[in-house]
Amino acid sequence: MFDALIIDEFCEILEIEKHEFSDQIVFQDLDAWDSLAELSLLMAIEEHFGLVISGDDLSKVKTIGDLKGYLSERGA
Amino acid sequence: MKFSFNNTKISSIECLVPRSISRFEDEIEDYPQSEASSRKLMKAMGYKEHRIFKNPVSFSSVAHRLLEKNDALLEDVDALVVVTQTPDRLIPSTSSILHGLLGLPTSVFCLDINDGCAGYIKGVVTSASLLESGMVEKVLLVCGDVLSQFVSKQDRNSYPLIGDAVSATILERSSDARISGIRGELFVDGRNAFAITIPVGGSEKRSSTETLRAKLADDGNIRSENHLVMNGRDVFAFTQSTVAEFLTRFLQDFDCVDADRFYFHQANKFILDKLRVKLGIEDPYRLPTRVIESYGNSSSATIPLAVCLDQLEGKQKKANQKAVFAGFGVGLSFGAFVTKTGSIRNTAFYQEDI
Repeated sequence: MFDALIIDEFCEILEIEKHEFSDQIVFQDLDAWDSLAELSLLMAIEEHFGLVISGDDLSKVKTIGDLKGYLSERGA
Repeated sequence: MKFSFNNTKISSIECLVPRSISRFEDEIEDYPQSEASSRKLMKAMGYKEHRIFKNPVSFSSVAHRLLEKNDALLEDVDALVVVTQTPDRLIPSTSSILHGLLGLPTSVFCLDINDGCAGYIKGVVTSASLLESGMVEKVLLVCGDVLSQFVSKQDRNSYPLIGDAVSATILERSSDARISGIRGELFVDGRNAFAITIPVGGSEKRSSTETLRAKLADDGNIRSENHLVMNGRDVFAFTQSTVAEFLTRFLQDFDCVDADRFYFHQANKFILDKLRVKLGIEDPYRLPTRVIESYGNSSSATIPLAVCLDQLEGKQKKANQKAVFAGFGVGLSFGAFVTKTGSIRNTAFYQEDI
């Protein structure tokens, strides 16, 4: 579900290398994770998948794997 | 609520902001986050400067200062509507206090409205309702906030954006169809009422030494329970879905996709730019962002401030422009109206420290 373009964008936002990108990545554990990274991620998801994640839903999405699950549940 | 006023015009708008300029650069060291991340945020969000009063001031003192400058505004006023989230006191109403300061006749109808971002829309609707009922002839609508004193200097979510300002708008009855007419809609979604809030100080929870203590919050900012807190995620989701959808539909339903100007509440530049793109407004000059960039977010004063500056700087391409006024935010409320700006005969903009 994540094409090369969105993976590139996520890696830039999360400040990780492409080879580090995996479902196991926990957002909170990343050095680059702050309110700006969170906002940038929300925006990228909105632009790419046309989905706006509510504040409540976002607090349940702790890893990239969680994010994938969330998006596929919503038909992305 | 849908509304349609055919015999109301906005005839005057005057505004006052602090003279001293506060810069993001000088405030960076107060934020608990790293300087590097703050600079990144500054670049992404367009934070630069804002106008806040250096010392705490009462709302009525700022409003009084503004209204002292032009006696003509007060002549024959028979209703005073005050929209603010920073009343002088819990009791009495700020409109009562201002009534006393201005020495208005006792027959003047006074009303306080606790509202912010969409507060100008609500204030105009209320004023127009009073006018078109035939009960009054001239309404003085005072909108704004002196909110900076209620925001923690260590809260990077909110402090960079906050602006202090008070505006005074005069609304009157008019039978000239070319320049009168205010039509629009107003909504509220109270399910997310606490997305923007000051939790303590009212009847739900009283202030105490404990509530006044600054603490590190989950979002990495430092604030007390007596400070403003804004849930960035919820507010972002709200503007990108609910507000964007509302405005898209509004522009179609009210036939104002071709409006000359879009005076949107100046929440932050980032959100305004995103909304502008979503609404297909290609020319950025049609949607001014000058207020948030230079003066900050002063809640219900940002819309009249944007109109005021536009008029004073001669930015309008023609005298009688079709304009959309839209507010969205605290409540969570959202609303808009379309009107003609040719009715506005007087504008003034003051910069003073109090």
